Amino acid sequence: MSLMVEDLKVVLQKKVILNGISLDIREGEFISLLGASGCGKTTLLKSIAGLLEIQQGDIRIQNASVAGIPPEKRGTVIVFQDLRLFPHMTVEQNIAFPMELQKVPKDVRKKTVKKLLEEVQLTGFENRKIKEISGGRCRELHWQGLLLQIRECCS
Amino acid sequence: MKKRISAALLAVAIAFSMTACGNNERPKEENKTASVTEEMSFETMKEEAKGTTVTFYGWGGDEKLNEWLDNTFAPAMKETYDITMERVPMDIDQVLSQLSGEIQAGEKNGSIDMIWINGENFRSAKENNMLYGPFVDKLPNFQDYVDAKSKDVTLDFAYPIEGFEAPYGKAQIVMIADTAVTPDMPKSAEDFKEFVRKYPGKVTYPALPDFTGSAFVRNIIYEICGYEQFLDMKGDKETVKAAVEPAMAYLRELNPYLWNEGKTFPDSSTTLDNMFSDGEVVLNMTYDAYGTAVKIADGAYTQTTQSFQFEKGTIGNTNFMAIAANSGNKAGAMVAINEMLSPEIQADRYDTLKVIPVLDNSKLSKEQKASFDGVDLGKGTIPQEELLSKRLPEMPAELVPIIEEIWTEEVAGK
Amino acid sequence: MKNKRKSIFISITQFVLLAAILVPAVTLLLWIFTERWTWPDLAPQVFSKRAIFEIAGRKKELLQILWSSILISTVVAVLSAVIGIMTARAILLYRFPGKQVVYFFTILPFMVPATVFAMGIQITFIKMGLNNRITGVIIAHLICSLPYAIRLIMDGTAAVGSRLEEQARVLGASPFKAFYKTSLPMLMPVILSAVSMSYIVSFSQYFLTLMIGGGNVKTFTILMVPYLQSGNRNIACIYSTLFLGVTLLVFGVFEWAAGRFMKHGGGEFYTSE
Repeated sequence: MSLMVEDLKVVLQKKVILNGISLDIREGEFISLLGASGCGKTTLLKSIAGLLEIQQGDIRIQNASVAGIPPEKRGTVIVFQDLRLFPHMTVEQNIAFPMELQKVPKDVRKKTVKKLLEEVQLTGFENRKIKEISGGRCRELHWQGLLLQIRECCS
Repeated sequence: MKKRISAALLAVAIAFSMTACGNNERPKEENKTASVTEEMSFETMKEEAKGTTVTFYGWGGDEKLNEWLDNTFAPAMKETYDITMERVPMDIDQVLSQLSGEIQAGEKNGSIDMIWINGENFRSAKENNMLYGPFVDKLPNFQDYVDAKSKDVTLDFAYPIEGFEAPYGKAQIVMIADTAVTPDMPKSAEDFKEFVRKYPGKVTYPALPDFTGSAFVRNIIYEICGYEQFLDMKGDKETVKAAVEPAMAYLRELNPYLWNEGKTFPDSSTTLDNMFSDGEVVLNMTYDAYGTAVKIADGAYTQTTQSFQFEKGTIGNTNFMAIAANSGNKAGAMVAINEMLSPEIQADRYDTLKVIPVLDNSKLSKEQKASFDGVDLGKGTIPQEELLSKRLPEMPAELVPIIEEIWTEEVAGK
Repeated sequence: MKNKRKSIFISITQFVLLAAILVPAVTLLLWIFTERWTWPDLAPQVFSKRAIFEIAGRKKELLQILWSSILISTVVAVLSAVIGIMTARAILLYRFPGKQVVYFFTILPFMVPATVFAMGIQITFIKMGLNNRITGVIIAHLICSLPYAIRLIMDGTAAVGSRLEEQARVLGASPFKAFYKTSLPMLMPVILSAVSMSYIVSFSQYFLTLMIGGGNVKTFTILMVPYLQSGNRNIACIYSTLFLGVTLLVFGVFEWAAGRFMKHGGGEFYTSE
């Protein structure tokens, strides 16, 4: 999947956060964005994902402009800096969330979740509520689980 | 997910269906203009009113009256005239508020048909063209059984009625005490002063402008200043103040011996009534002259409770039924009011509720008279002849608020 | 030692609070059967079943009025919650011109007394043909209960935020699904509060229902309040007890319904670690 950002301008609450940002990422590339705190890294990510409106410029995924396409249809995923697990759901429901949205059958979901949890040595945690899991485990789960989700839904 | 949506849709559907078929709503009635009703004879009115609903708006806090209206009067109306009575409990202030709102908005098919009303409220409603009339001359029972010349029927608080309301029941203020606790009952203002000194802290009256408290003070004024001068007095504060000064002085003298030393007074007659039942005060007062019997029978008062009056008399008034100017069913209202004036209904009301009837005894046949005389008024009451022989008329309604103001300034807490 | 004192203090406070609720409730129940109860007796002197007969005699009418009152108030409660959610989200999560004005309007009913509002709106409703109709009463009640619903749900929405929804969106959820699956379960407790509050505001309305309903729409309070004013204490008490009992029942149903919805575990505000 290739990503192209062209001359992006994003204004939030009357402040210009991004101005004239351009980026060209080719398929298979792995990029790190570095910058001081508050310089707009998250804003850029959110704009690419479609969570924020852009004032100027264009974003193209696989060479097609995604302007006007809502976040759920763009095929992008963000792993957020703050823990964003769904606390009222179980571990299994959290991980299977995107599969449920895509109407993957229940038994396939169950099998996939089991396999993924095994890979990160969290077997047997399927039915634990997020609230009940310790902070440290939570974090680990968050990163592992969401990375797995990305792997699954974006492949 | 589907369950949630269907639940929400169901709620919305219910809301809309209720507006569509409105299970609490009456079918809208045909609008008859006032002039058409005026030309109708009573027979035609009965025909017109068949199958319709008449609403009766009035105070709803008397459960015995409500029961009688719902279980005796309404079935009688349905059976005899095929008219459905609908009783709406509402304070007269609210009724007039709503009526004036409807008239202001140009509502021609008003929701209010019959109104239970009297006094200052009647006067202000009539003067603001909120009532339909004159109509009593069209009612056969009024012609046949009511003494149309009696001051009780032509004047409401000394204000000319001119046929805009028909009598409903009579009231007269009486005082009530438990003879086992206070064997001596005051017969005059002088006696009353003695009485209060004998039972300090145990006597009081409702703060004005409560209806009953106001009537008590007017009664004292009549006792001390005489009543004739008030019947045509001008409604200006200075004149009234000068005239009632002796009574105000008297009331001030009472204060130190009253409950709570006259610093505060119970807010209403119902509070005073409850204080009396509870034994906190030894004197009660009410406009409902025969209510005592009912309360003794219920057990709220002791068996030895008795009502009494001043020798010079106590104030009596009549309460009435009127018709809203924008009522959509004036014919029906008139048929209902006419029925309320029939000897049978009045006798039944007298028997069940002990409300003083409004009919002229001399116009009744022997059998009809017997049904009234045969009513057992119960314990602790004053026989009707005696009560009515000591009946004083009300003064003009406009003086009443003035006197209430003077009392608040001169007596309360002094 | 300090812990022991603290727990004694807590127990005493709990006891006092419990007594403050129970003693009047018991008195209320006792007064239903009382005809005469003078001080200083601890129990009534004269008992009567007058209040019971009054209710028994009106069973059919009472059931009908109770049912329609509950229905009206439930519709008001549900509509308040829905409008509350939408308004809270609009004010907190969206940017649009005039937001402050909208917010001001949502708290306006707190500032305008119900009586003033009733008299003013009556004329408008008459002209719109809404007077004396159930729809008019529902709308009027809604205007009174919305400030509570909106305030409560705004607090909840602010606590829950849009973070979880954003996460759900990037994972492929449509806006509605994102709200429904992530925010709504978290908001359930505050929605329950809003629904209960709106229900009570509507169920206890007297003057407003009287003015707008015009005597045509009869709710339970219309029957009850004249008896409260009349000094007929036993009748007043039995109507009050009915009022309380019915309300408690309805709240129980609301809680059960919310509980069923939350059985997947929603129900605590989640603040970031």
